[in-house]
Amino acid sequence: MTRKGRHEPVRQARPVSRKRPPPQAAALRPIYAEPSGEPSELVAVRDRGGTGAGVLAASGGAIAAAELSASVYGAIPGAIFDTALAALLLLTFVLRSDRAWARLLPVMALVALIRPISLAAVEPRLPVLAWYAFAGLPLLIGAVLAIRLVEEPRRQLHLAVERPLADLAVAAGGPIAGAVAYLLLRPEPLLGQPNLAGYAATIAILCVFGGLLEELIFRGLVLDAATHALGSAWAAVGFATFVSTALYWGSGSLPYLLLMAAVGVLLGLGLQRRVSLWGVGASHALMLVTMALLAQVSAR
Amino acid sequence: MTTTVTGLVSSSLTQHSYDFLSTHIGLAVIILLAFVMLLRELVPIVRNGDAPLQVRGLDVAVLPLLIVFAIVVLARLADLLV
Repeated sequence: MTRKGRHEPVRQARPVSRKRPPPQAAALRPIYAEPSGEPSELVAVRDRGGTGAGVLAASGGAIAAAELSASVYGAIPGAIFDTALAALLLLTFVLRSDRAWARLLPVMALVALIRPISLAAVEPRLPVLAWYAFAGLPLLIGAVLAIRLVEEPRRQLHLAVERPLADLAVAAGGPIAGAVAYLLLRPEPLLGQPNLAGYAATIAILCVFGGLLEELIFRGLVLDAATHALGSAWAAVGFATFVSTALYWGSGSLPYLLLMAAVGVLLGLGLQRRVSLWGVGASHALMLVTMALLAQVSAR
Repeated sequence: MTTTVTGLVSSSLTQHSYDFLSTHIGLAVIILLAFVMLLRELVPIVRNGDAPLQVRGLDVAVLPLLIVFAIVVLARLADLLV
């Protein structure tokens, strides 16, 4: 009699206390409770840290596995696998779009499409410099479209310049990293017959389709999606670095791979210290431009 | 030097003809484009026209794939005409 009396009120209260908001409302509500931008103040969202982290880890691991397999089976099977993975991620996004972690799926699909697009969009008979533009243009458009999935792009993607001196300091590190990267990778010169227009095109293409594009994807979109899915800014920096480094596997140089991992960690940590995405992108762009110019000069 | 054009991508591009690449990767990309566009058209119908989030998410892939499709078609046409 006493036991039954204790349980009855709980049964009555249960439907009220466990009532969930409608799926669309849960998906569209703001992720952050406070506009302070501090990662520690992330609020819990439905399914965060559980399924979201699992989906993120599985998709990141699959992309990395495809890159690793390319060194054994060639780039084409890995790229076809990436294409199938992108289809799976987008289908999951459509079927599970009411989940809080669903927003990361189109971003990971875009990352999975990097290799197929870089192989399919490039006509090999074009100059090498044009390869970067042809591979980068579709991805840049996709990344810009992915910004529309972010609730507060200015804050979540670190687009606001809050510490201009810190931005400049991070950007100034780019040429130093570029010199080290050149020594490690020794890339081929991009221009067959260098002239002023060729140098200008090199700088423009590497800045837009190299540094800015990669930082928008990895330190912007992937980092933001991973922060929401994993609930930890540090884990998100690690994940974004892991994915971007995996895509450098095809460079064929382990020291260069490790350098890019270190650069990825440092730039990710810079963003946590309120450096803007522009500063991080400028640093990466200057790194690539330094590498290209050193390769061009040394080829003379 | 970048994630888009690595050494492995460069060697694949120089080893294979564009015909070969577009027949394999290009075909896979075009099949994916058809699949994603089909999803993009079906989702609003299934959800009674109320699927802005899904459409925006699919657009992330649709437009890049459309550009790649255009490049593949133009390059193959140029091969035929030259």
